[in-house]
Amino acid sequence: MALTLCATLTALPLSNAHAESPTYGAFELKVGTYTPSIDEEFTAPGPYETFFGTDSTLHLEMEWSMYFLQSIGKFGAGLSIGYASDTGKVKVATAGASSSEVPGETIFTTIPLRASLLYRYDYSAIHHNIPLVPVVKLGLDYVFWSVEDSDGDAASFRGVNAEGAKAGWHGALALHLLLDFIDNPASSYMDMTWGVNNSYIFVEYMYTSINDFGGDGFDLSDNIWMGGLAFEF
Amino acid sequence: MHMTGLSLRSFLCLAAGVSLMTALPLSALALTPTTNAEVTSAAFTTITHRNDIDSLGTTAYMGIDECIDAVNGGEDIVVQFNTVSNLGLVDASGVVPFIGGFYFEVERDSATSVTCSSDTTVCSVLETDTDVTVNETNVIATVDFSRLTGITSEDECLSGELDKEYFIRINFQTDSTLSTVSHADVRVILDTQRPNPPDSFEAVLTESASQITWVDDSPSSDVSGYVMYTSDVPITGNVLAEDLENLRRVGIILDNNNNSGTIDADLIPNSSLYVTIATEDEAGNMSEVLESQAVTVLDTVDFWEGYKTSGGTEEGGCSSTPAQPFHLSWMILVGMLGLLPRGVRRLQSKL
Repeated sequence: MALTLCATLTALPLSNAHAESPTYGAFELKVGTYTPSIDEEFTAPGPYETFFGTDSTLHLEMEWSMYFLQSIGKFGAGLSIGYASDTGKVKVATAGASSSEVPGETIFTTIPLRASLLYRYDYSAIHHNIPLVPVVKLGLDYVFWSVEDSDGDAASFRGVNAEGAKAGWHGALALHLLLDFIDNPASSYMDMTWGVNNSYIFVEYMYTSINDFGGDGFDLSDNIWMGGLAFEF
Repeated sequence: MHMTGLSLRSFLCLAAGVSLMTALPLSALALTPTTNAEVTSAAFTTITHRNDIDSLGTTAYMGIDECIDAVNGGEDIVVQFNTVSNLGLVDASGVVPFIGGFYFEVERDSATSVTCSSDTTVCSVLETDTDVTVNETNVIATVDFSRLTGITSEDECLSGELDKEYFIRINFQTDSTLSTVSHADVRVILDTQRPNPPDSFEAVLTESASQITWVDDSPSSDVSGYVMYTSDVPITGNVLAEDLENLRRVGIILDNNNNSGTIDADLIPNSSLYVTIATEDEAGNMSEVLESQAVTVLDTVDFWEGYKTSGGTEEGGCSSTPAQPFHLSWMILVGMLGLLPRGVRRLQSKL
């Protein structure tokens, strides 16, 4: 099946009818699911699962990258910012009381900042009519986090406020599908009007380790699957 | 039976009209205040004792308390109708547009249209130059509350029998044949009927977020909301809150379903309160309260407290590890920010 797909994609026309402008970098918009590894500190069920359940939360991210070397593929560096927020119901502290109908919510929010080095193998896409572009990334992360109480304020317990940041690193593998072959004239128009050379749809697997490099406290690590759109300019 | 195209179309129009008519609530067909191309807006300049005025500014609501104050205080209701031209001057048709001012009453939500003229008994006349003043860009109408409503004593306000609409109207013409008489009006809704309280309720109180639900199988048609009262002592049912002492009134923020709501109040965890509920209508009239329930304010735990009491080691604050990778990551991130302006400039040069 993979061979059939590859053959089909290879057979599709990919040549551009116009001379493309130089390519300097790319912009990615992606969405995935995220569950931090906070409960690794505890035996199951940990507090994160207790308050927010087992379902992952939606994670949004956008990345801006610049190329510093273009030969067989492109080498570059990127900067990204993301957002994820999970909402759960507060629990009752009174012994014997049920939490099932208690009003009030608690919210856990993360805002990751990432710096990456990346490599895009688009040589075959450009020269061999294969519209698949694998991408490899490696970089460092700094993730801001906070917890809100049912008043909407930053939660606090015994004088310790529930907000902070954790450092870590990530590695990612992505596969981009070049969309130019779908509508070549539109692609040319985007290049001439907006400076967008190429547009892609992609899937990305990102391994993150966000725990202050083995320090104490929250472990915000997760293996994140994301999908999105990328635009080369 | 074969239906022609014309009759089929007529049938469909009739069916659509009937469906629309039956789907609309009665109040949508009721008599409502009017403005038009000549009288572009109308507003109550003075109506001291009123509970509320609608968003259009043409309907004022008065309840029991406002009725009592208006009767005892001799309320003058003053209305300003803003006009495009001077209705007191002869216009291009050779007529003085302004005909006269009137007032009349109808039952609540009445759908019967009313035509006022100087020789009808349905409407009472406002005297020009004493009750009504015609100016260059507006017409001012003034009528005393007792004269408008016929209420002259406090006991009539307390009777609980009134639920009427009172219109203050001006008529004007736009041609010499009087074939086209237009009007503009405002409305005072006087409602001295108290709404019914709910049948039962249940309250869950926490230190910062509380919820109350109630059952109201036969709500009054003009219910605008519900109010919760709390007290440190039991609250007797079937009495008015205003007749009780030491009650704390807490407004309820209604949920979409109208039989539950949340309240915003700081309560002490593990304390006990007595809670009751009452209904409020559009005119601000309150129902009697229900027999109170004893409720304990629940102490709740958010995720952070739950994490810390479970033994979590996170201390909050920015990443404080002195390890090299932390400082390195910050340096790289800050360095990356320097690439952004360069990238923007390159993109701009391409465009």
